[in-house]
Amino acid sequence: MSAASSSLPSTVARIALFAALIAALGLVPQVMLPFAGGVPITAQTLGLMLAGLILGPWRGAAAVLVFMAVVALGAPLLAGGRGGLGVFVGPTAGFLVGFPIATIVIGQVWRALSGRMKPMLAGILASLTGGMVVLYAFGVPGLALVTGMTLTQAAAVVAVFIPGDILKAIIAAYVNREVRRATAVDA
Amino acid sequence: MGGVTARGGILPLNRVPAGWKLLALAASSAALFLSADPLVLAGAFAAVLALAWAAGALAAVTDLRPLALVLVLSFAAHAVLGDWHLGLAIVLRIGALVTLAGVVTATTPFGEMLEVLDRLLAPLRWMGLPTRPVSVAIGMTLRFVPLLSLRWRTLRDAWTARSARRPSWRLLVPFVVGVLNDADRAAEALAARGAFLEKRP
Repeated sequence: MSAASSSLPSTVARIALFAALIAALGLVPQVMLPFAGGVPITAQTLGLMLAGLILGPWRGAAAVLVFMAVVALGAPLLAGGRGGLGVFVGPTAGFLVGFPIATIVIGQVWRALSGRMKPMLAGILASLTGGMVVLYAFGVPGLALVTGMTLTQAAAVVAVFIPGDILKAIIAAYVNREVRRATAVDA
Repeated sequence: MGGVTARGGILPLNRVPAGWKLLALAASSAALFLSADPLVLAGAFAAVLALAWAAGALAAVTDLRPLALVLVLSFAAHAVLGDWHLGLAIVLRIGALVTLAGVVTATTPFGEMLEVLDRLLAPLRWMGLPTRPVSVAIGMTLRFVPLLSLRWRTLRDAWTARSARRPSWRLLVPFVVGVLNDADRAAEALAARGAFLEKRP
């Protein structure tokens, strides 16, 4: 890779780029998948997966934190056009807290697995571990806490997102493999 | 919803320093969790609505719209278990919390929020860590969002000009490669203009 892509300005620019990508993916309207009985799927966590896989754990988490700062400052960039401070006290606050940690896990699992198996499989496993298991480990208790539902009820509410998460993990792994073939990425 | 800006209110909340509003929001958020009485919380929600109206930011209520489904579900979950009082209390609490946060956002310009963030980062500066890259990253992020939409539209148009099929998610690959190059060029341009130098107060 070139010297330019590891310099401070380039690192900051790539962090900002993925923060913007996570934001832009949140602006993609929710689509209902025709199969599996109209499952809602938001593209936002696809941004987390791409940030963790392509930028690596720490720069990926930095991108997520910059994205969260921009949302907290008032830009309506969260999925469904939400933004401002309300999202940090609402029912989905647990997922937001989980965002940076999920991204760190995605990056770390990718680093651990990418030398040992095909990049597609490593990418899918990393995305599912961080973007689904870890994210739900924060999101479900958060939802239960704010809405007073039991953990089981809260888990049932978010279960509809699982098919979409699997689809996003496959897309993220594919994009990660192809982008690494085409350009110099050092994570 | 975050995009709401207060106008025409009789209470000039815009002139209250952002830091005070954020502290008041944090304190009220904690206080709202002390009660599970629907009457108390209905009073709190009504007070927040009155405040929103007085500040000219009643539109902050629209922050609740994307939450409608989860509010209905959580009320139903409690009602099914026979405790609809608690269900109602929780819906009112979330309504008050999210609307109040929306009022703070609507009455505080983005630049003032950024100044609060800069003050929160001050301890890092005292420790000798550079905080300038954080401000640069936030500014670049805001600039990149419309740029990304533009890049995606360009790629999609190029696809539809050549194919009868609908644009595929596979366009994500040339899209990400392209915007990584954009980011590197923006970085060189900004660095050349001294954007990463720490400001000396």
